[in-house]
Amino acid sequence: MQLQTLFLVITGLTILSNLVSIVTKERIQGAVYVVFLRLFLTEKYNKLMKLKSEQLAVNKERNAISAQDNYAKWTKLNRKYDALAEQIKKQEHELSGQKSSIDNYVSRALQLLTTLPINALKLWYARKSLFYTRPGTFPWVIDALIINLPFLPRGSVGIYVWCFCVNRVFWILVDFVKVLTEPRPLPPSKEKTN
Amino acid sequence: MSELTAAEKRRLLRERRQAKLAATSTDRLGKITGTVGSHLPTASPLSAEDPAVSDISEAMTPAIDGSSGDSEPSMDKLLENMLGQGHNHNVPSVLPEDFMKTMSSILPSMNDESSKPTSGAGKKPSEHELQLDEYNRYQLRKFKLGFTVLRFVSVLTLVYFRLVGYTLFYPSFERLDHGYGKIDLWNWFTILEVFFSVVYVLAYRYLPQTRDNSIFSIIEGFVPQHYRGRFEMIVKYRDVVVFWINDLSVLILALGCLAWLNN
Repeated sequence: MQLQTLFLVITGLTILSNLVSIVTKERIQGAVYVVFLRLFLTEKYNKLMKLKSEQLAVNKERNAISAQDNYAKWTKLNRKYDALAEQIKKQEHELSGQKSSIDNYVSRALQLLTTLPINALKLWYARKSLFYTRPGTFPWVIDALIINLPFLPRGSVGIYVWCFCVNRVFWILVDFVKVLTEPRPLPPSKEKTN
Repeated sequence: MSELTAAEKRRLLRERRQAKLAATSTDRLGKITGTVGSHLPTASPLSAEDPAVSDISEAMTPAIDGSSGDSEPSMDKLLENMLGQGHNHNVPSVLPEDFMKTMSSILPSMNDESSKPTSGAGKKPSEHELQLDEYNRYQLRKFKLGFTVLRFVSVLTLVYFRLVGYTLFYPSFERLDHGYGKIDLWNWFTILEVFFSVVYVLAYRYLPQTRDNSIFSIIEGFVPQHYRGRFEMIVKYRDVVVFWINDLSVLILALGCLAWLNN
């Protein structure tokens, strides 16, 4: 991989990984499930909704009559209600099973998209310089001991240092935005003296 | 026989009571003084012979020296054990019974008072203190982030004025061994850092103080007393180092972007 491409890929992946951390995995999983439900599980979802509305109607009808006066009818409705409850349970179980499998897939996809490639690139290009500063830009100490970690050629910046810098600046800016936007705590009122 | 009148009945009863009192007056006095009809022996407790064991250390129960599970022995037991050494049930207790009750009623309250935590080390912070701490933390965080962003802007401005335009000093994806002289970017960066560090150190005393729950407060316990002052100073001004790392990060980020743009 060319250095320019590597530079772009590792920067993009680092920012993407941080964005995923901000949004949180659970929210992404929830959003993916909603999309999946609308696209591929419409039939099952509609069936579940239909069963639920039917159960509601049966329950309403059953409550409207007296169990003593119309025992036969009440029992019939009761059986129907139980049968519907069973079907709903089965349907929900199916859908929840699919949700957990979708969550699992999303989690794996996120790992494959962010964590794994970053770690693989860091491992593979650990000893390779990402870019070089011109001699004379930094003093010797900085050139040879700090920015070139882990012991790369003098004046070069490696993938580890680059990722560290991107992460650090990114999170500081995120924190700054959070402080500006989040509700500030009220100053405490003066303590009562006895 | 005619029935007795009410006045006569009263008189008869009074006479009977007086006769009874006169007959048993000696017994009553004996009971009061403990000489007649009492469950207590007539012998004076002071005249009773000394018990065989008189060593006070033997009188001490295991509860007192802590060998037993009870850490707070009751005053009743304590006194009974002390006095009951060689107790033969003929010797009455030297102390009256109500003394025991009084002492044991006092003891729990004393124990309660002694078990109360003293004000100081183990004291839990009040709700007001917690609120104040949270507010101070927020203020401190806001100040630090604002200060960091101000420094970022300063560093980027420095890069813009001291590096942009000097194309010979642009970072590159190719290695260039030969130098082109020197650029004063780093000098200005250092001046900026020193300036901001001095500002931070001067402003530090005016910053709100918060409870430090960091790892440093744990490490401080292991630092020898002689070096504790220096350690505290280092911990106090560790932010200066953190700020320097942040600024260097943003400088490297700017250089990387320049390398990409110059490509």
